[in-house]
Amino acid sequence: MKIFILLILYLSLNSDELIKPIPQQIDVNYNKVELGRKLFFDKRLSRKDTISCYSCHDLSHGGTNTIKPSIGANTKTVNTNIPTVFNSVYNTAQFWDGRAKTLKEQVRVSLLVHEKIAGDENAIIMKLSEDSYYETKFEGLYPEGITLDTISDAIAEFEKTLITPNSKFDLYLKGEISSLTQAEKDGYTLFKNLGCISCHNGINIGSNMFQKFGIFNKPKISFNNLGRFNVTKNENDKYYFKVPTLRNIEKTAPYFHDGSARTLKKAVKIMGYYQLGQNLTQNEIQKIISFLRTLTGELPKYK
Amino acid sequence: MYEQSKIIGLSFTLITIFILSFFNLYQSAKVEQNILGITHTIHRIRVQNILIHEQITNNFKNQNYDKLNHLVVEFSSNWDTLSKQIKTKFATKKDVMLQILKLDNSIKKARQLAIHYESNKAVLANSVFFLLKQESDVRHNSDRFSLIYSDLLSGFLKDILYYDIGLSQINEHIQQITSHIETAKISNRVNVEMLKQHLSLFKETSNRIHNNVSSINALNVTEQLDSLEKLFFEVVDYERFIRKYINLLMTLFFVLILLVFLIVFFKTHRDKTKILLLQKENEQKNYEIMEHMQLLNEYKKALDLSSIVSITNPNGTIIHVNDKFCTVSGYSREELLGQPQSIIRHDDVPKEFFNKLWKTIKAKKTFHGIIKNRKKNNDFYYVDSTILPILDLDGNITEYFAVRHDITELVTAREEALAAEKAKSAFLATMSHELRTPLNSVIGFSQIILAKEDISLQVVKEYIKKINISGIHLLNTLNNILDFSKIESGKMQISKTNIDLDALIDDTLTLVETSINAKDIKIEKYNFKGISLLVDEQLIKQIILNILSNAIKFTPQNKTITLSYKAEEGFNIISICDEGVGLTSEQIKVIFKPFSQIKEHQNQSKRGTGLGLAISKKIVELHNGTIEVESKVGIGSCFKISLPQSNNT
Repeated sequence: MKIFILLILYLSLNSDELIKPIPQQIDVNYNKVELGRKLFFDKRLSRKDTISCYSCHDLSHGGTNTIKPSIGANTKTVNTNIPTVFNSVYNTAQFWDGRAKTLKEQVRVSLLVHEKIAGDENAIIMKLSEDSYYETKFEGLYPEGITLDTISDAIAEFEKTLITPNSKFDLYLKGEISSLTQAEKDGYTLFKNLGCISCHNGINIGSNMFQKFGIFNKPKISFNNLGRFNVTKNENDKYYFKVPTLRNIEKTAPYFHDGSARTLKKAVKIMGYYQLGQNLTQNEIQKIISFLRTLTGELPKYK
Repeated sequence: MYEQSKIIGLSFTLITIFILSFFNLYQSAKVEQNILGITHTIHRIRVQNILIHEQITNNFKNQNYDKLNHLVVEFSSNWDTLSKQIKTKFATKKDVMLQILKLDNSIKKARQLAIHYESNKAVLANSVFFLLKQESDVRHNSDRFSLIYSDLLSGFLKDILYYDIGLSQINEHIQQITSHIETAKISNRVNVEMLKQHLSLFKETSNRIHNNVSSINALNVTEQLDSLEKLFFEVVDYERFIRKYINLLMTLFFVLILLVFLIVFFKTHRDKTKILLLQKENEQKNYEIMEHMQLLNEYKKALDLSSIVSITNPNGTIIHVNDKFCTVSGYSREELLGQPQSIIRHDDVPKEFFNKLWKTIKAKKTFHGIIKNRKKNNDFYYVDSTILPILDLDGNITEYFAVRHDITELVTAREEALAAEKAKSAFLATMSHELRTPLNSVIGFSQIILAKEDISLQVVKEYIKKINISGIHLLNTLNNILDFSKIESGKMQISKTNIDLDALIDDTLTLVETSINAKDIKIEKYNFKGISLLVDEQLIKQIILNILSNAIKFTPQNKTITLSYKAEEGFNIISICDEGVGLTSEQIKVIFKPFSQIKEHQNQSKRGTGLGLAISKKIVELHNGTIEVESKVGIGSCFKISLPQSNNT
């Protein structure tokens, strides 16, 4: 009887898959998407016409750059690792500290905050107004014409389309069990059994909560970024960061908010030690990495 | 014009109110829609709030927060919309704004708490999962330690997964498991450090979760939403009431103005019709008046042409005369106006007559009568007068209107006719007398001769002589009558011959020589020498003899009779003037009429036939001439015979 109850308990806890596949497409306004895409690649959005969104969010790779840490428009170093733009629509909040609740807000903040593109609202609007393409496009789509808000909206709309469906793991979730090798399946089992899935779950395998860096062990790495505390100024939020997505993790190195882990191996090891209180073996790490590699999806067809 | 502007003003007001009420209705509809939207949002928030609570108060199993996050995001965005909607609507309502601020704060806190809850819950779920794994690991061992350990773990897991247990019970469970691990010998299979860490983490996080959830509950978002909704509807209901009231007032006002408008409109319309009708009537009347005026003018013209018209004021002063008046009276208009009516009064009319006239017209009665009036040249004329007093509305006499017809000719003619009639009777009487007298003489003397035998021849002779004279007289008379009737019937023939006037006068004087001598009358004769006339000798001689006989007859002894001739303005004028008794103007008028002997001068010795001058006049007229007489009583008479000179040639 006791065994039976516990079996049901165990099954009930795991029967409901905590990870959901990415859909094939998403409902968007394609006119805005087209405009957003143009803007995404437009360097005029930066103060000195030097960089665009694309400069840091490389769409042909992992939706982020591989440089550590990321560089802003004024070549002043950005002291946070740039998160991927892929599947960002499924994030519960944007930025490591969840500063922006929506994609639109994220674009707006990115365009204005000095450490990023460091543009000037009026200057941007002035530059875009000179382009007859934008002039007519904006006028057709937004009654208010070219404003920071409408620019952000268009770019956010484009970013919504940057999803990476049909990863091997998604296909497995959809029932194509054979799409994963045994090692990858073992990796997934380990991922669940070790407890990684407690935080990395949901459609984006992460990005649906904030979690403290260092639950079991206090990290020795230095924190010049206090994470969620920056936003809430709540003592309890110190060292809390948005749990990052694991989708396309293979292509989004370096890792963590400060880009301190250059390889997946190191990242998995650090996560196991600080977050789960375990010293993972090489074998375990390898298995998990092989699972993580199945999370790489098809690049979005943005052209 | 005034009515029109009134109508325009009213219509303007009507349209304004109409537009205003429409605007009001539109506004109300918009507000209601807004309220409906807000109500829907509140409802959605409520539902999401319940769902979020359901998610949070769920058990300890590992779970995917996508749904919770989604709910939280939706809840937040809904709340943002709602607060914005309410804020724009109730910016002035302090209590509503305060409630929103409070709720906004609570929701922000709740969101943070939910995020904390998620983090803690993930850690807790991880530990639960570890404990489950531990239990399944030790379950198959048969040693006492493992059995107790497994029992403790499964009891704990069952409690936390199936029953909502309190913190103290969790702590009790953890205490039991920890003391069991510490007191018993540590199995190789159990990672005691790990277990301890997880248990302490469990204790810590469950405590935190408990705090999170109770904090969320303590925020009372549901109750606050309730009170917000209550406040909201209080304000909305009040506004609805006010709006309804305003609408009602507006409708009432509209109806009132509409009524006034209709009344004014119809009144104006009615008045307009009335005015038009009156105008038409007026025009008709004007036309009629014009016609009457025209007619009156015509009448006036006719009256002016036919009658003498004058108007006097009540005092009898002339204030109007027409042309006819002037022509007839001989006065100019300037001479008449302002003068009393008595200017034309004739002395012949007695004073009593005018007294009677004034009495009549002053009694506001019309006077009618024939009046003899005086011309400027002292001549007279008769008028048939109608005088009527003109009254004003109060019945006072304002003026007298006199219409007269000149009937002088009529009166004269009548008088003449009467005179002729009288003359005829007199003629007959005279003639019978004239014829009878000589016949009486003849018969009487002849009877005396026949009756008396002893009559001397001398007496007979004397009587016969008398008979003879009477016979001659009778014959004369008859001759005269025959002549006169001959002339009257136009059977008198005149045979003109050139005569020597002087000789003719002399012949005639010879015929009356005896009478002249008998009275010692002196005859003076002037200018007759060498005058020759083409006339009927016998007839002219007869005229002159006739006039001369009369002159002799009426001239006393030793007086002179003058005969003279002169040529004047184509006429040969023979004058025979005496120094006799003379004639009155009335006598002059009738002197040439037949049988009109002047009675006063009538006596046996001077009597004539009364036809002499009448015959003379006729004869002169046969010669296309005239005979006139000028006379003064007691001084003498002058007869002028005028014969046209053309008769000579």
